Amino acid sequence: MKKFFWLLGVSSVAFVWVVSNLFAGEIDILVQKLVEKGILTPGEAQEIIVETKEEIKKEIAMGKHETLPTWLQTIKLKGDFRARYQFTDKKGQEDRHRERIRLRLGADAMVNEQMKVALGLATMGKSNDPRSTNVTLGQGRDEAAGNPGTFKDIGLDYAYAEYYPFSWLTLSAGKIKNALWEPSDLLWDTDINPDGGAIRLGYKVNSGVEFFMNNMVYVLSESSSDTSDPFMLAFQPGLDWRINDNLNLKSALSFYYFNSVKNKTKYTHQATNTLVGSMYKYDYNVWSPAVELRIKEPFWGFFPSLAFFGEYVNNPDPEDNNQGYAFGLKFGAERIRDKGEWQVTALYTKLEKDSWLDIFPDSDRYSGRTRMKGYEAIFSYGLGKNTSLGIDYYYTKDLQKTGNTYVPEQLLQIDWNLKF
Amino acid sequence: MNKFLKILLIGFLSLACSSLVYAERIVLEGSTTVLPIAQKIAEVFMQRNKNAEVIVRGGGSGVGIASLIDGNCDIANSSRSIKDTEIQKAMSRKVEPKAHVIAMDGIAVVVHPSNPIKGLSKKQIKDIYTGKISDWSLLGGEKGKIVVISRDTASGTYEAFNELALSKAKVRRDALMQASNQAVASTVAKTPQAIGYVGLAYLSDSVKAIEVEGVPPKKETVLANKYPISRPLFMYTNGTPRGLVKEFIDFIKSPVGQKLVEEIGYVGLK
Repeated sequence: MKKFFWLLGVSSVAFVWVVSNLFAGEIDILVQKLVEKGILTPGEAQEIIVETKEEIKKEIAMGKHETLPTWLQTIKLKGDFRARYQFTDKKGQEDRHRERIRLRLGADAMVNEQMKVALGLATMGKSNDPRSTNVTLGQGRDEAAGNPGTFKDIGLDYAYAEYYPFSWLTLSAGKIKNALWEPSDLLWDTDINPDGGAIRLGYKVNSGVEFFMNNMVYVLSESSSDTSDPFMLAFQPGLDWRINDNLNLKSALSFYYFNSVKNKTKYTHQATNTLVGSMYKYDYNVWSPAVELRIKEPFWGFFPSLAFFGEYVNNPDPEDNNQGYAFGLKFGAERIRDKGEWQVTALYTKLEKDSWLDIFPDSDRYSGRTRMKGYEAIFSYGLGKNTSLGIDYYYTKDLQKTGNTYVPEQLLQIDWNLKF
Repeated sequence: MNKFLKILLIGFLSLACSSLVYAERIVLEGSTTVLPIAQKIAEVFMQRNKNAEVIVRGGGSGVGIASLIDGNCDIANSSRSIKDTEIQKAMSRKVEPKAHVIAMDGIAVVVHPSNPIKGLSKKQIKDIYTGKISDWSLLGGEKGKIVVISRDTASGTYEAFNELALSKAKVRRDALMQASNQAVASTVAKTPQAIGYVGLAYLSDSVKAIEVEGVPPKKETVLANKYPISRPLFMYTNGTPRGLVKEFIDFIKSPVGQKLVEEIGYVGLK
């Protein structure tokens, strides 16, 4: 299956290239013959050759070339590679140094003007963990020590179809990208691509104000012997308000509903939520407001961008240990695209034990657990076009004592990121 | 009598208004390299067509194409081919850019007339502009630091030279960036250790054009696709041109128009 996707991508690109170049090449030869016979002047030949090439280029860019189906002409390939050094210092445990890699490859194609198909492959950390695409060098499958230079696993990262019947509506189904807007990774690790579907609505009141409503269903697991499969529903109304050319406010309020989780389920990577027997004790039908204020070129243009953000979560089912929040700021370039661009992010997070299902938050922050609080600082610097250096530092603590101490953990990640 | 005068007056005003309506206007915008061609052609075209008004603006190739996409001009002058991203943006605005090649331009590499260097390879030019070679003695010239002159990054000439001669490598940081072809030519003419690049139209006795890969920058070598740093010059219209825009494009491509192109110093296609 993996081979098939590879072959499909490579052959599509090669086919487009070969067809366009062959056609242009034939025109060149024909026109040169006419020049040799004195029928065309060299100038007229140039005019015909260049204008023909321009026309072919335009038709391909517009998806109008008749020799290929439209979806093949509009296929786009993308990918990124990350080499990471990671150091973990957790009280009571041996220091750990790891070299890790992540590779992601993606392609999407327009089926017609209103439908798109996308798929992505990625390296797999643990086969059952939706949060990690890191592969640790020196390990084999599922973090077991491997023989030197073992092959690494690649899995299906996402595969979905999208339908845009109207400019204000997007429907998606499959193993989709997270449809919810989040200013931080307090609740959702950015590697998670839910199994399910989404309906996203956007209504522009004017050029500066847009109301949106993101809705998502996440099939958590499916069993052939049980009809009450666990799933999650999320509803997120929000507002994106461009106050003026330099000021933008985005906010949303999310509501989550989990079916067949309480008393019925426990996931492999569960670590801190309260259990009864071997099942989750509580529901996680939480509500969560989030806000981000972005300022362009603050302090007389000293930074290209400055943003403040905050997020809160509350689970009404348990009586205590049921809240969490994150707040922070981000300044520098909005995105690192080129050499010399930089960005700094600093945030504080706290997630109480049963505030949120502990299989979803950022897997790097206190090993992805709830029942923790701490700081994170990220520095990113553009080394060149499409390549950057990232330094990410976490200092987090358990909210519950082990012995006499709230066990602290320091994590340092140094990343070399390359996009293609 | 009064009635007769009124009718006469209304008739006269109608005639005046209709003559105003007939004064069609087209706007050209874009490349500074194509600007001299556009200005000269516009001048002669308006002399021949009294009801036509042709407005010509510069700004650079990217500005011209953006203006065509936004519907702010009728013809975009460009010294480079339109980019895929620009085509896609145009498509989203229901604009279909159509290319018309109106002339060829060779980008001549120029040095001071006193410089003994006769020619360079593309690799040597790239090494000079990226900072790997900094002294003329490494190229068989007299000892002395090479003063690198380039066009500013917004110009179509820079983009074409960057792609054709430098394979998109970054120009060294200490290069002197100039805002026009004329400024490059003037700076090279005044600086014995300088190297620069200009369109063929800007060659004069005050600078020395050198061979590239053994090929001199001339009309014959450019039209035969032998000179390595040459490029077509474009005018883009929204779809197949009609009306006055068509007349204007036809005029540039006519023998008379192409003769004017050559008079300015570019390579005509006829």
